[in-house]
Amino acid sequence: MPGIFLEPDDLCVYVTEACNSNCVMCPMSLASRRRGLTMAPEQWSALKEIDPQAVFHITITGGEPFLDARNTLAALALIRERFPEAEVLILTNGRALAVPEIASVLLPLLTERVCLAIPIHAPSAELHDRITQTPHSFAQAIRGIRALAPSPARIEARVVAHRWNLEQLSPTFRMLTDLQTRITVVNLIAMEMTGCAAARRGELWVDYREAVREAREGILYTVRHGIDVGLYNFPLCSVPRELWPIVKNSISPRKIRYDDACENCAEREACGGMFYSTRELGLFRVEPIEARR
Amino acid sequence: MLAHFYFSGFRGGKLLTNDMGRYAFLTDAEFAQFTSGQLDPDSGKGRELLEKGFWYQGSFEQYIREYGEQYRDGSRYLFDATSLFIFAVTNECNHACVYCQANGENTPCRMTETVAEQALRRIAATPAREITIELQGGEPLVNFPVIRFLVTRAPELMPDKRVSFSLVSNLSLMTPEIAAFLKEHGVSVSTSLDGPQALHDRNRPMRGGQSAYALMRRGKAMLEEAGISVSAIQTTTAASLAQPEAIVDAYVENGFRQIFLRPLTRLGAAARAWDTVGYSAEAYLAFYRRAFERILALRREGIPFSEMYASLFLTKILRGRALNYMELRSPCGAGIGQIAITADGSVYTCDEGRMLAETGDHAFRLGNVFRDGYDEWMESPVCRAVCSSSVLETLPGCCDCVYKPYCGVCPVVNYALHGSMTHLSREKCQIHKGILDLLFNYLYDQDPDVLEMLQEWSDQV
Repeated sequence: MPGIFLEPDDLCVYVTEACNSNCVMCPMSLASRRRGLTMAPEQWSALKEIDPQAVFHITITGGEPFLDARNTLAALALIRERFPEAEVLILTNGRALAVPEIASVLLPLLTERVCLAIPIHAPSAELHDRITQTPHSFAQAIRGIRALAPSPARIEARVVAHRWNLEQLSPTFRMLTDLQTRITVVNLIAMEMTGCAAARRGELWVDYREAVREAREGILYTVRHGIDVGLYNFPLCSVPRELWPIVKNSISPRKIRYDDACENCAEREACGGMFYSTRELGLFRVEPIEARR
Repeated sequence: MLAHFYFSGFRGGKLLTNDMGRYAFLTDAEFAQFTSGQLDPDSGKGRELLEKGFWYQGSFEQYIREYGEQYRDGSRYLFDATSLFIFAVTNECNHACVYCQANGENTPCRMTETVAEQALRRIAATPAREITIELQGGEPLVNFPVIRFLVTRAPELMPDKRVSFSLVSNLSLMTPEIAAFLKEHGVSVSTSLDGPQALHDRNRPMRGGQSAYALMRRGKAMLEEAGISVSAIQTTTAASLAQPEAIVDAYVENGFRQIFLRPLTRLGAAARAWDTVGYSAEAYLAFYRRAFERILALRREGIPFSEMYASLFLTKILRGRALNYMELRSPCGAGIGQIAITADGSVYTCDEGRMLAETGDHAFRLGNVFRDGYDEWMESPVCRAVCSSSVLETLPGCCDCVYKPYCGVCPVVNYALHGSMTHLSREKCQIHKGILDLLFNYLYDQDPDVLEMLQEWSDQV
C-alpha cells in the first residue's frame, strides 16, 4: 500500500501502485497496478514531521511516481529543504521527464545527491516497447534521460535481465554507453520473481549465470568507457570471479534467502544471497564456492 | 589471512600501516606471531588488527566488501577532476624575498582581461563542480584590476560551479577599498609571515626599503576591519633555524591560530642562493621539533594553536580521510588536481611547474589558453609523465615504506634537483619521514594531552 515508511536505513516514499508502462517482468502484480492506489494528500504531510537527523537515504518509488507529478515534485522540493544531506533515489521509468512541463519543474530541484534510476530493457524501441507493452516508451525514456543532462543529478540506467532480452543484454550496455549523454552508472538487475515476473516465469526466467554470460561483453565495454556498472541481486556463485568487484549486495535483508547448500560455501558471508521469491520457486541452483588458499 | 600492509622497526618493536591510513604498534614477538599465523584473533592485539583491516578471518571477498569503502576513501581525490586553478596574475613584485620562487629575471608581465577571460573559459571545462581559483603572483595586488575582473567574471562563466577564491598576497598594497571588495565577494586571504620583524624583513626585503612586516600588519588590519580573517604560511630559511620559538610566538602575537612550517623548496632564487639560505633536512627537523615543543607549551598555557604540516598528515592517520593536498597524494596533484596559469596564458602542471618556468625551463608546460584546452592539457604527455612518475606504488623506496599511505613525491623538484622526475629528492623524503616519526612517537607515547591536541588538528583541514 502506498505511503511513507521510515526504516532504519531508508525513508521510502511509495507514491502509487499505478504505472503508465506494463512491463512483462514487473515484480508487482497486474491487479495492484490496475487498482492503482495512490498516496492520499494527508499522507504526504508525514514528510514534514520526520526528524531530518534520522534520515540519510530516501527512496521515491511506485508504480510510476511521476503519475502523481504534482505531489512528487512538491515532495522533492520539501526534501531538498528539510533533508538537504540525504541521498535521494528516484525509481522512475523516465517517460514523464520527456514532458517539458514536468522537466522544467524537476530540474531546478535536482542536486548531486539525487539519483534517478531508469530502466532500459533493450538497445532499440522495438524490443523495449514490446517488453514494456507500451508504444513509444523507449523514445520517451531516452528523451527523459537526455532532459536530465544539464542537471547535477546522477543518472542510473537499469537493465533487468530475462529471457526476452537475454541476447540483447550486451547490445543494450553498448547502446547506453554510446548514447552520448550523462549516464553515470548502468546496472544489470536480476529479476525479483514476484507479481507478473512470477506469473510468467515460464517464458521469462533465465538462469543468473546465463544472464551474466550474455551481458559480460557489454559490461566490460561500459566499464572500459568509464561508466560504473553494478550487478544487482546476483548471488556470487552465479558470477565469474573477475566480475565480483561489481557485484552489489542489493537485496534488502528481509527478502534475502540462502539455500541449504550455501552453508558449505566459503563466500556465504560476502554474498548478497537471493530473493526469497527466487528460492521459493526453486528456480536457481546454488553452487557452493570452495575456499581458496 | 594477512591483508596488505607496510611495516618498519619502531621503538624496539614494529609500526604497521595500511592503505586505509590505519596504524598499529606491535612488539617484535607479536609481529612474529602475527606474520606466522600464530597470533590469537581473540587476543587484544588480534582484535585490534582485525578491526583495522590488517588481517581477516573470512574470505577475501568478504574483506573487500567490508574495507573497500575505507580503501577508496584513502584515495578519494582520484575521483575528482582538477579543482585548484592558480592564476599568477603578474610576475612583478615589490618584495625581493631571498627564497623567491615565483618571480624570475623575466620581463615584467601582467595578465590582461583578454587572457583572464580566455583562461576562465578554458578551465570551465573541468568536470569538477567545486573549484578554487587562487590569485597569485608575483604580488597579485600589483594587478588588482584583473583580480576584480576574475572574481566577478568567473561565476558568470561557470554558473553551474561553486567557485571560491583565495588571494595569496604580501598585503603591502592593501587598501580599504580592496579589502571591502574581497569581503563582498567572499575571497579568502593568505599571507606570509616568517617570524619576528627582524627575521621577516631579512627574509622578505622590500625593493623600496620599507618594512615588509609593518606593511603586512597594516594590510592585515585593513582586512580585519573589513571582516576578513587572514591566514599565514611561513617559509624556513637558514636564518630561521635558530629561532623556532620566536617564530611561533610571532604568529600568536599577530593573532594567528595556525602556522604552516614550510621547508624551503630548492627552486628559483632559493636554489641559486642555497649556500646562504639553505640547510640540511636534519637542521629543518631539529627546528620543526623545537617549534612543535613550543606549540605544546602554548597549549599548556591555554593557547590553542596548530601546525598545518602535521594536520595534513593527521587527517589521514587519525581520520582515514584523503586530502587533495597536492604534494601528499599518489599520484601527485600536478595537472589532475591543480594547474597554474601565468600572466601570458601559459598553462603549467602546478605551482612548482610554473616556478621552474620562471627560471627559463618550461618542461612542465601543459599548453596555452589560446592554443588548447582542458582536454588537451590533461591528455598531454607532460601530464601523463608527472602522473606516472608520482605513483608511490611504482617508486622503489616509496612502495614499501611504512609511511607510504600518508606521503607523496614532487616530480618537479626531483627534476629540478636531479634532472629526473623519478630521482627522489632525499631532502623531501627525510623531512616527510622526520615529521611522521615525530607524530608517531607522540601517538606511541599516549600522553592524553598531546593525543587530544593531535585529534583536534586532524579535523582542521
